[in-house]
Amino acid sequence: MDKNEKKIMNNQKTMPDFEKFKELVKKAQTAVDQHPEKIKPGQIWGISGKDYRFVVLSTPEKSITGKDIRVMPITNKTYIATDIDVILPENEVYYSESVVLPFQVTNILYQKLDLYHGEIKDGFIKFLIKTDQKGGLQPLPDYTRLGDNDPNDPIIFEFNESLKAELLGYAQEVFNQADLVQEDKKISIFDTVIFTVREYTKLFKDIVAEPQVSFVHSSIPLYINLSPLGKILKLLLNKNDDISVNITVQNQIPQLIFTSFKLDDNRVISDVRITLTGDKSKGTYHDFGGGKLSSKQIYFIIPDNIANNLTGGFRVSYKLEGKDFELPVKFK
Amino acid sequence: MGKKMNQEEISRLIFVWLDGKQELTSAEKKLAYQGFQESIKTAAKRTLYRYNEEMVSDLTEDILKSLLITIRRNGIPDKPKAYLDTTIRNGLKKLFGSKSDAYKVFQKKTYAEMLESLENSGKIYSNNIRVSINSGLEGDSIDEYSIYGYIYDLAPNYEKLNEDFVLDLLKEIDGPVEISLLLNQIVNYLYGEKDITLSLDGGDGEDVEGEYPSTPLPIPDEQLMQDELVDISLFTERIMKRIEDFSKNEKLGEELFIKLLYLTMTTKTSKEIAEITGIASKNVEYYTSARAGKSTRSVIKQWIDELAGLLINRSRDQVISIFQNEIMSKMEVEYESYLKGIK
Repeated sequence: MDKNEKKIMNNQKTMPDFEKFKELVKKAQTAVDQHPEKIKPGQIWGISGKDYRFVVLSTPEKSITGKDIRVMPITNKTYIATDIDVILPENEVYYSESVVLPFQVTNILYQKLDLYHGEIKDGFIKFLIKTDQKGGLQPLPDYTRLGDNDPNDPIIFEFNESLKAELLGYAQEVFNQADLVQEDKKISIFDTVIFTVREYTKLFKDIVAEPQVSFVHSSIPLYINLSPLGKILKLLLNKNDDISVNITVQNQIPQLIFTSFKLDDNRVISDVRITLTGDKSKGTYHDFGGGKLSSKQIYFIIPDNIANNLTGGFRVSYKLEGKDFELPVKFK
Repeated sequence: MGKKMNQEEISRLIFVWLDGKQELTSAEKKLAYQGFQESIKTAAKRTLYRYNEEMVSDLTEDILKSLLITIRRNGIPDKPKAYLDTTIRNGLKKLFGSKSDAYKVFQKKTYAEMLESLENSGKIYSNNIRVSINSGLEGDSIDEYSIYGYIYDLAPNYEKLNEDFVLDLLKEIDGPVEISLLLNQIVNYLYGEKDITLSLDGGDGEDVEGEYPSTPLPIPDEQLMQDELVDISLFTERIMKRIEDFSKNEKLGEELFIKLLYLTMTTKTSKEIAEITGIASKNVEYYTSARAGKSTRSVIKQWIDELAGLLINRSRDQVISIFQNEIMSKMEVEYESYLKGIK
């Protein structure tokens, strides 16, 4: 850099000009005072004092409490983006580039949200909703990219942990609210297993309270899915080693799903087994065999005798790269 | 407006404008803007660093929202100037926290890549958790205080803490070291943070309470420039290595990839690039457009982000200009035969 270049650089403006400032005043007024009548997917909301925003994935009308929505956090701290976080272009959510954290998703009571920041583009929201529903990253939309920073870097780890704690707090408020819902409406999780709304929320609450499921295996938080009624209900048991392990019901068929997040994954899953641990059927198990993660997702259909007794407690075990994994799930 | 307004009155205008209940004239709005700009510049000057425009826009929006929420909850503050200044200072502190965190994350990445390169060249051994100059990675690994001590002793002998320094450091340590501790302590040293006060006279080695400055101390300009030059030089070396790796693995072939990457850094259009390289325009779009995940433009964007994280005192425009100067001139030398005639 010669002296002239330096001079030019030092004279560059760092403050928005008057026209931009007027736009910022307007945006602040909209954020605080002019909220849309209805909350819907694609909207961006925030909470005053928090340095992250949320993109909305669902409507409150379809939620269990009628007052909560599913949201995904977004920040403009791009240096925290790891290879499961998606970087969105400038002027999409913030003026600067932003990072959406697809696996830090949570439910939140919509009354908590007091700042409205507009809407995200259609292509992006479709991608985020699909990623959430499938439990794994979907093909990236145009103009986005993944981060490549180390998730175990203490700064990034601390950011994720502290955000996770805050999001669990919001989810806890949803659970408490759900407890107050006195409806006796029945909902189906696994074809033949029927829960009341209250039992259903308790089930998730207990999983969150069970540290061996949510925290031992992973630095990424338990995926709490309170999807709208009638939609796919999904339990994330683990997300680590670039795979996620879910139990879900699709077309009324209960399934155990392994999803890989690696681009070219040559690893093999083997010795997959579900063992029941509840009092009534303790020790009963079913072996599913294994499969190659090169196919991105491996589905195993859970037989009825196992599916009907999962709520007593169960353990999923498998081998990955010769290493044994056990994911115990207990219900109180 | 008949009389000249004082700072308090000017700051009050910001609140009145945000409140929206009273219409301000265009002149009053301009005055409010100037008052806001003055406050933010004064606060920023004290912290000795600059921002990129997008981040300042985000910060300004956050500050304005915070002020409006105050108005809605408690009305316009009695001392608007003091309230405005405090809100701005708090906002800047948050931004500074982010910038220093970004600096540490990207510095650590720099040194992690140096370790990888040393391992690939067979000079050191690693099991991804520990690293050593010797093949034996078992046994006791030294603690973070000792690592800091070795760095503290060795670093002043080096103009820049590059791969040679890391290799010599591991030779000095002469045993297994936890990679995460090693990277943390190198970055702590670079950033001027000490979590131990060393006894220089070889005393009893007693641990003394750590000293973390709550906000980093201002660095004199000359020193700042010097540190930046080292950071830029290490960054350039690293990126040139990545370009070499990319070009060898790129299905386009090395020459075409280098040409595309170089031309992406210029202001040339896809059509012009197509003419120079002889690739069809739509294929140029595919390989360079930020729309595609691993296109040259996306890769360059990612590198610029990293350089921006390292040069916390520079605005985005400055970082881009430095990036272009450094990388393009290095490429022109390194790949002279490919780039001849297209500069």
